[in-house]
Amino acid sequence: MPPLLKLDDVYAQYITRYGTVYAVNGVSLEIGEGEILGIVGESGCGKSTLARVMMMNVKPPLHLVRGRVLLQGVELNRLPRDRLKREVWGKQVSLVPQSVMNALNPTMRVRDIIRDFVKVHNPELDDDEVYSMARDRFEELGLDIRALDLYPFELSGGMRQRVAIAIATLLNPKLLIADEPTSALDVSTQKVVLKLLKRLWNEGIVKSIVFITHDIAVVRQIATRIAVMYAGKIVEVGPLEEVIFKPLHPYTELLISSILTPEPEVKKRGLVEIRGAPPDLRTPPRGCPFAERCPYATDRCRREEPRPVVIGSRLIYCHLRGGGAA
Amino acid sequence: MHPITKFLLRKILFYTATFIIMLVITFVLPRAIPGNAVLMQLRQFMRTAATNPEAIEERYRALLSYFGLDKPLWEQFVDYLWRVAHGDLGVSITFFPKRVSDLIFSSLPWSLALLVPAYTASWFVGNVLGTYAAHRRNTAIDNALFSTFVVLSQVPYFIFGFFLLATFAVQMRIFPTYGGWDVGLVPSLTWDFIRSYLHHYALPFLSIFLTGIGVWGTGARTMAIYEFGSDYMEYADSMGVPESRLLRYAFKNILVPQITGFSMQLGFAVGGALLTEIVFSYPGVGWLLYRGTITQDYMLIQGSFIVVASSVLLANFITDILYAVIDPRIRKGYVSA
Amino acid sequence: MKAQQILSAIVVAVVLASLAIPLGSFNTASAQGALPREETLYTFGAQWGPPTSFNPFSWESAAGTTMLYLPLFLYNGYDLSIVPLIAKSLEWIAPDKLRVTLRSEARWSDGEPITTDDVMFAWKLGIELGMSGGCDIYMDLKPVDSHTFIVELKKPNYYIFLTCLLSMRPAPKHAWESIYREKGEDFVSWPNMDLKKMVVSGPYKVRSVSDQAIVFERIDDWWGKSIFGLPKPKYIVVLIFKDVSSAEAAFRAGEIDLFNEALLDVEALKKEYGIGTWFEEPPYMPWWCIWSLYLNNKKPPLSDPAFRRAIAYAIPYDEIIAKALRHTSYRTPYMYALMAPMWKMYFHEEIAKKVWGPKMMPVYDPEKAKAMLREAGYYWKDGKLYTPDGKPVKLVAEIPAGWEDSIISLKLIVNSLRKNLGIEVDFRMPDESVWWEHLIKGEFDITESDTLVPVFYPPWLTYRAVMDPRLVKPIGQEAEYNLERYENPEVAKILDEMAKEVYDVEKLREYYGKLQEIFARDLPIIPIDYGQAWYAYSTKYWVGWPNEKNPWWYPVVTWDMGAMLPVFFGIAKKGETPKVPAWIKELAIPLKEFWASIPAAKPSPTTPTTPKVTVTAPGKTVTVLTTVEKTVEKTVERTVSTVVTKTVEKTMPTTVVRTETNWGVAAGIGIVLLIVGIVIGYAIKRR
Repeated sequence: MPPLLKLDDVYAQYITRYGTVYAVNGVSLEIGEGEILGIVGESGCGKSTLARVMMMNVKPPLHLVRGRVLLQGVELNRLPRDRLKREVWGKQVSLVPQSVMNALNPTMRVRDIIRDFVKVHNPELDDDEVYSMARDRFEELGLDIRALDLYPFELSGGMRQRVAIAIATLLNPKLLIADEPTSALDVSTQKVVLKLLKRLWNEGIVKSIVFITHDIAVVRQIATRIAVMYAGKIVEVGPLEEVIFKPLHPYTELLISSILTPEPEVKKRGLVEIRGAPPDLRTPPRGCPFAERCPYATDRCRREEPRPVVIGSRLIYCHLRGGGAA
Repeated sequence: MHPITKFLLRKILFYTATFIIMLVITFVLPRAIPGNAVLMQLRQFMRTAATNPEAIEERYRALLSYFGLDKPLWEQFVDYLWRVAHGDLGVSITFFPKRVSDLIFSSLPWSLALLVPAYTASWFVGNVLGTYAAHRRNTAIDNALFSTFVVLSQVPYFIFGFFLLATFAVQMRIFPTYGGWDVGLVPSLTWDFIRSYLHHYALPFLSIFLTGIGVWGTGARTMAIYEFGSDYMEYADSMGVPESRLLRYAFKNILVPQITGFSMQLGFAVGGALLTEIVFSYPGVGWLLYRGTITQDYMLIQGSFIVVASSVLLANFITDILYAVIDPRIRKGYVSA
Repeated sequence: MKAQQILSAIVVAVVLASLAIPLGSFNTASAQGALPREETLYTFGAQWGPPTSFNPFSWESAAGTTMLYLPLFLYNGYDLSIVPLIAKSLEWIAPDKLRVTLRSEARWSDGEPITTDDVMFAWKLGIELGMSGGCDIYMDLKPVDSHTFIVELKKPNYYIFLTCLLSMRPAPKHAWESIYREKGEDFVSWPNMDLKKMVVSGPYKVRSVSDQAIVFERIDDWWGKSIFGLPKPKYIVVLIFKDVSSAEAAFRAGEIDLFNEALLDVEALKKEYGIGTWFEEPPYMPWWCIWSLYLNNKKPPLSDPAFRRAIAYAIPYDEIIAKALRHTSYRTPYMYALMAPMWKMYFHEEIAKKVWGPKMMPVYDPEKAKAMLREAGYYWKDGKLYTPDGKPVKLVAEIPAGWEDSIISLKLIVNSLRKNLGIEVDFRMPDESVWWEHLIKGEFDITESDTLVPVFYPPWLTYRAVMDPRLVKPIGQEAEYNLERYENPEVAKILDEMAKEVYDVEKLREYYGKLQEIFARDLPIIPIDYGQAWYAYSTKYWVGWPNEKNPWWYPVVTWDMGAMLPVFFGIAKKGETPKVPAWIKELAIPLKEFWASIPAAKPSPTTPTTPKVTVTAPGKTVTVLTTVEKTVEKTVERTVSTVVTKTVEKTMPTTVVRTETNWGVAAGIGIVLLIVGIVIGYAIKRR
């Protein structure tokens, strides 16, 4: 079975007159049907850009300079924007917004936001049909249907996020991309939202989810597979448990050791252990991007870009794991 | 009590208080500035008709006593309040023996008929075009629109008016050079008069309308650019909501601040009206106010300020209500507060 | 969404409705067509602001009121003659008695004859309303029969008598008496704007009136047709502009025929648009008054004649005329005798030469000014001028903001005073009303102003206005004339003497010589140029306008269309040959002859009139004429005090009546707004 979404050697750059930001540099990734892929990385590593590329929501100054984006074999990168809007976004690939506080139009009631959204894709429905559809879905997901008559600012943060998720999945998209859906929420609300996502997935309302976060602790609660991103590149991809308990890439290792250790003082130390700052994406380094900060880095790491190495069900980009040999 | 009633009551209370303060100010201010209302009237007499000093002295006394200006100030004030309470704005000194209310009510319709449509239309069109320019940001269309806005909003008003006058009235002779209608006609509901009225209406309307588009367009563009960059717009976009609808979202969401601007602009509209009236010799209340001020006609200043300030207050009151209708944040805020 | 739709609908409705407001605010009058351009004369300059009344007894009356209510006589300020209009003849029957006969043809527009009754009615109305122009102090009227009356001089002052005579215009007693009876002294606020009921004596009636124009229509069966013919324009439109430059644009576009306001660039207008003016060459415009530098004669060192005379040499006259006035005015030696050229028979060249040298007027000569100051004891220290008693000279110059010409002019003078004479001058531009208050209260140092009396009237009036010591008021009190506050008892004596002896031309010339010498010696004010009467015409539709080459009328009294009336008889439609009406010359009585026909005997100076009121609160009114006989004082006081007391009482009832109507309007607007409010409220609630 072909993967649901496939990124094939994708390069995406922000090209402005002040310079170029190399945000995504040669990412290849497959998202199979029925999986929840967590994409983890520090802020500024290109995660959100990657999310955009996955939907092909690419508009100036962002450009897809190389590579293909295939949704069930269809090359999204060849479709014009209006066709993407009409046929793909919201319907096949949907997005849970990053900053949910402002992601809903403040001057529209929730039901009107829904109406506009649904009618784009199903112009044949009349308003009442849309409303009843929304009501049904809200009930199904255990959301208060009174929220439909309210304005976004009248909802609590958690409720707003859940409503956003409900809207995003209203048309049963195959793939749901959730970009930091919980980062603005407190822990208990985070749980509720994660539960909701899981439920959508369990009930098959969405087939697959891409869950983007900087927080490994969160991704651990939901993902089936995990991809670690660094400086616009994927450094390691693999099943959740494997990657977390037995990281193979030095960056993954450091990332996990810094976060998963329960004691706060260790955690603090862990953070210190990743010396330096991520590279400036305006001038990406040659060779392995992590070489500058990697405690095991060799001359080769600084010189040559590592190639992917398959180890079991995992894929690693590192010279130490033989990335140069392939 | 229903929250809306409460809201209305609170607003009414606020505007009534403002109105009373305004009443006091309109009485005090003209009298506080140096100069004397009657002396200017007297000057007119001295320069035109008088040849005997006795006549001038006689006229001076008569004027003072007719307008009650020889009474102590507090008595004048009580008098003034009493009259205002009875809806009487007194007799103009400069335009004696016209009653201030007659002067205003005969010229106010013209100002309203010119300003309300011109300002509303320029506001609407300016906002639509501004939003559109923001949507097409950095394209040729945007560049063209934006530079037009800037030029229109920056050209001094009277120069623009004179430009229209010189081009279309004096040179091309398409439109009349002055007035609100052909002077040979008597205002009446006849086809001739209406045609003449609209013919004379065109240039003053255009001058306000076009400069207004500039002002509103620049503002709308800036605000809409912000809107288009906002998260909700981004999100709606990535959910497949089409461009035309996004344009409408942006338009609707810039309306609220723009309505504020509109109601604040109303006070200045009187000034704008004055310039239009002057350039096109169009009938209206602005010039009346101006004449009243420079001749220090207390009665006229008081009267016109009461009318102008009341209408601005009223407009603000209506805008407050409009807000509530358009922006739920404000409405809900009021209701829940 | 629904509420918003309702709302938008309301907004659109309001906008559209407002467009129609002016249409709805008029009564549906009978339709009148546009005016045929070639039959219509458009004029601008006579009316500023909405016309308020056609009542000649109101404090403000609209342009053309004097054309509706004709005077008994017109005055030709160029020929210096009197032209009888409603009056037929004048005859001195005693040195203090003038018999006036009215034309038997004269009729009001409703067909009633114009009789002595109407003259008497107007006379009495003027006195009652305080609108007599002070004439009741100087003369009295005695009816003889229906078309004859006698004017009696109460004071031997033929100059004032002349101005009073010229201001007499009959009022339609049969139409106005009942109104006067009803309104009493509030008659001054009666607008006389009911066009259907308006009764007039002139050849035009009001066709329509609005805030933008007054339209006059010729009365084709006017009573004077057989004597004067008819004026040529079928319609005269007095245009009301709010700004001169807009009017000038219309003038250029050929939409105005007669322009009586300041023009920016006369030369260009003449070249490009063929505009006509009084003079073909600069200064283009006719003389109106004498524009002067006013110096406060009560404030040292301005109180020093030597200082004032020195300043006269520090004024850059030519530069002012070029830069400030753009050559629309000029200077003549006559100005320094407070005259215009038409009065040159009273001008003494030898005096002018003696005082001013061969040019007969002061010229710009800073060195001479300095020498004169030095001679008078002034000195300089560190480049600053000091008075003989050691005080630095500091002056304040003020001129109203917005008076562009005068600002430039005064600035040039101030710069010269600073630079050439080392005087510290503070230049200020207050509002006109503030400036005016300073001027009449004597709270100024130096400023520019006109002499308030038109120069085509006998120079005696200007001399009195500028120099009569009895008109000086203390600083801080409003003065009528003599604003610079020049006091010289000698002048009073001369003025009184000559006003009695107008018939003796030689003596008159002598008196004028004395005044000329005193003026030149003391120079209470410094004439700068002629204040021009703006007179420009277009020959696009009307030709045959009077000008300096063909001066058949002196058309300068811009606000007084009655005084302009002969012009409308003498012009012609383009393409027709203009013919100056013969009656202008034939009927004219030269002023000289009029004076000369006063019976040779000396007028009995005081025909003692019994004082009607003897007591008023002493000190309440300030005496106007200090050196004249007691009776006069009392008369003045009487008039003043009655006006004061009565008007107060009269204003109240009318206000009450008006209030009710205004209430109705206010209530109506209130209700409409309420409904709008309710609709909006309802709309909100529905959501």
